[in-house]
Amino acid sequence: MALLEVHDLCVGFRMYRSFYRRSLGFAVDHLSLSAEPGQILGIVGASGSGKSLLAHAIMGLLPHNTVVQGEISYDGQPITKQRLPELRRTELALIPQSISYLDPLKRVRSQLIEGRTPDAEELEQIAERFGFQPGDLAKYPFQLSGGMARRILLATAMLSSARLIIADEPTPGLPVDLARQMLADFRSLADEGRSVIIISHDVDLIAAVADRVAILNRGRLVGEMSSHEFTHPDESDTDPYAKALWKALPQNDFITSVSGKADSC
Amino acid sequence: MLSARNITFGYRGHQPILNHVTLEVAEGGRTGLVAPSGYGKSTLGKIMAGWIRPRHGTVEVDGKPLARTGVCPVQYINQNPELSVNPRWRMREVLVECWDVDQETRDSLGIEDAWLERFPGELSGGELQRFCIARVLHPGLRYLIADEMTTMLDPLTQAQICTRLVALASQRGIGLLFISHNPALLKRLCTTIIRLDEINVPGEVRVAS
Repeated sequence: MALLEVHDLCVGFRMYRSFYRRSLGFAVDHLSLSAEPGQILGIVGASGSGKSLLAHAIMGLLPHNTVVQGEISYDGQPITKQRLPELRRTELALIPQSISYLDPLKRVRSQLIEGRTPDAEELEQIAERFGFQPGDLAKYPFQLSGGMARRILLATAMLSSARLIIADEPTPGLPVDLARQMLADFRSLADEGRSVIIISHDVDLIAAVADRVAILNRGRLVGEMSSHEFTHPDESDTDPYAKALWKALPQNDFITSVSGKADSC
Repeated sequence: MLSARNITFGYRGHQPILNHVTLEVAEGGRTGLVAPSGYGKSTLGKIMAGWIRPRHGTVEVDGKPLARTGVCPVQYINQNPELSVNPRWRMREVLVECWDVDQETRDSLGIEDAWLERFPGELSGGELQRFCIARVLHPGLRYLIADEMTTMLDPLTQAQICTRLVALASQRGIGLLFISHNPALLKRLCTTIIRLDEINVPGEVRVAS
């Protein structure tokens, strides 16, 4: 049975145009998908397609001017406002996209595990597992490079006991070998029976590690397929947008439009 | 020619991360800079754009040091557009912060008029990054340092923004320095690729054409 089920989700923003006028725009539009335990679901799509909103809707982190419709259930039961704080503490983990989610006034070692600072021995193990110098964990976030700060965010979720891990753009800013290692870590988390959702536009890395790939475009699900179907778009009749996304990679054709016409470089 | 000569820099109280680094970008040239995370790529980029002053060494455009007032001919774009714009300004104000961006530049980067009335938090990273690029393309711009400019973007948007920027730059003779982890992307875009971990040793000089 699916660990997480999202059914007919809509997320919209109420925006004030002037003192009286309000408008409502939907950025996620009737979206349904599910995440199985032991599997990695990759969610790919253009920026602005609602990938992060989906993650934040699941975690209940949307700002106050959003309107959410539809149903999200975890472990067979709907996620409610009452259940959410407990779920977030124990069952769900989000690896956010922006490094600005780190507390700039706390040393990173105090931000790794909810509620406590690990002891020296644990810190040493963590440093080794995630490829830090021993001194790095005593630094403040602004002293770390972009890639290192990202690895701290990743470590926070991996060190938790959450059964559903949502990673929002975990790999940008990481060198390729480290990104691959991170994805291998996700794989082993899934093999432990956890459910992993990776939201990313590093489509090649995602396709290499995910079991299934869901493609979003402008808030709608345009296709859900196995990684193989996604990476071999010419073999089967996939959606043109999914096809274009794969072919736009610099190592593939670097095309710049969905129809397949390439701008010259 | 944008040249950084003999740059040495370390953050306060730490060992230098850049040690006698010399790097040149030719007028209208496209150079790629790669190195593992934490090797000082971004720091070098910021030094070359005049954001931070090196301990030793000089940054010069055609033999003259960077202007301390007015528009700096070298501009730097980073990978976090959401942190590079004022969150309390509408995009209309963000766009014209440096110069009155003309319609042609806006069109070529694909900036839609509907976005102008929004606040930065209401746009996606790719949409914001287009604004960040447009606002630095001042007529006085000579060199642009694109630090992981498209890592936050999906491949389709990345391909669009990169090809459009390269087209604009070659049209106007702007020199580009791409800093990236993505070797395939640099191979597509650049004429020369330099490894910072190779040039970050005392005394060695690399010239990019």
